[in-house]
Amino acid sequence: MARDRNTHAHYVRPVRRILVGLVVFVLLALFLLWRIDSPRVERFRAALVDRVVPNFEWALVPVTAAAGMIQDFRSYQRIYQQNQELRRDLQKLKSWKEAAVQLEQQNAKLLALNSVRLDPKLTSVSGVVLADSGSPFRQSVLLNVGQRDGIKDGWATMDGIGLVGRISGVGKNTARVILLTDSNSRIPITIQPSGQRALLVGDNSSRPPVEFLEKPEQVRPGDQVVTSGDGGVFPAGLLVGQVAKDADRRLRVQLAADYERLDFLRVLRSRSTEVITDPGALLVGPQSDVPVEGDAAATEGASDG
Amino acid sequence: MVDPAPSNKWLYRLLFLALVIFIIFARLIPLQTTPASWAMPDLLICICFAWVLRRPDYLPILLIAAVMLVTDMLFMRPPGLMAALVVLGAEFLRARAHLMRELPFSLEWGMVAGIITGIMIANRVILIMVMSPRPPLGLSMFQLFVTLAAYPVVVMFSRYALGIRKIAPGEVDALGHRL
Repeated sequence: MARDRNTHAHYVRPVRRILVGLVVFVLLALFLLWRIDSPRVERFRAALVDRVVPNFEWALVPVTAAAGMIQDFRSYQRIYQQNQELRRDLQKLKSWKEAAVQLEQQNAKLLALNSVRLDPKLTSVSGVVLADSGSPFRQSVLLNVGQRDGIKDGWATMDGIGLVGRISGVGKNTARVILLTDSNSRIPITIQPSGQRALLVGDNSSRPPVEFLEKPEQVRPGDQVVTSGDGGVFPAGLLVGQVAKDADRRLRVQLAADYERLDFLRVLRSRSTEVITDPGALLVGPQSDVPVEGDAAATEGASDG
Repeated sequence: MVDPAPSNKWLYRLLFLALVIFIIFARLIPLQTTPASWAMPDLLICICFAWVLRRPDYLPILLIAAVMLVTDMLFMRPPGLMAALVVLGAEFLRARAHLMRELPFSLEWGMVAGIITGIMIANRVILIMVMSPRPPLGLSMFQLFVTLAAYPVVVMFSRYALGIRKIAPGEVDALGHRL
């Protein structure tokens, strides 16, 4: 037994120490590599997630659906209040419907007058939400569409109503959507009707704040927020939500998309923005020599005649 | 007590992997897609430390490193940093596992609490040093406290449901080596 312990002390322990040092060194090296060359490691991460998470799909989707059903079932308990609320909403919506019909007709007329061509290439791919980020610090979801479906980084993602986020990280069969609420999300927006440009900056809260707004006094709670398309990454005019003011008078956006229930999302195919490489040619007026000769001939002819 | 079979160790390693897969699965289910003001405890760290203190031979260092690295990747954390810190913490505890066998649980809990707090602080300090974006401080603190509170529960679960006890003094394995 004593010999056993001796060999442990003299032989195993130093080897163990080297092994621990080596493992920690490799892990920290990976961390530094991620810090230096983030895209490469993130691509590896996307590939790993792409291999691992779809294996869970058979269980993730039914469990999520079952949990949703339980939530729905619980809502039966207050069915009477809901009925009352729905009736009130219906009344409001009827008046809105009238307004919408009128506006639609007006809009059609104006569009016809202008012969505006709305973006015809904006088509979409739909996907099912497989998983979320698994961490309370990151707000993202994983969709079951990927490179195979032609998804590309940076494309906008919407639910039925409003913008949800943008694609960041595409695997072969999966794509990660960074939600607008994530602290890494920055989206250029326009606030209607004042038409001011600003940035929507995610901060890990359910109502992201509006930053870089030039004249906050022109913006009121309830104003509509749409994407502005600045920077050329995002299509313009997608509904984001409504402006709201929080307790410390900071402007935030109440998102239009239903973040409580993200199940099917639409990924908008944005075509790549055209790049203008031509710096603009030198503008030259009508060439002077040939016409001048002709003119001279004409004047000569005139003087001859 | 002699282990009934040498494969016992491997059985518990598989059990650990099953627990890990269950935890990953539970955290990936997209039930909570709105930002929450609370956080779930980091059960994986609790399990690693509780098991390493009780049966160091069940969790070899490479298994801990691999599992933590995979969760770093899947949970969108900076890859490698948390894994390295947890491996260091686990090895620190493993070197003291034979001392901890005689100590009461409250002391063990205090020591583990100190190490987990140290890991969280080191994680934050390193992220600040490399100027990487950090999770909000309030949420991290909250997660730290619930993780510390969850540790006794994890220990009880391992002890009574999975049968992972501290090694008794003088206990030997199937081949007669001291543990």
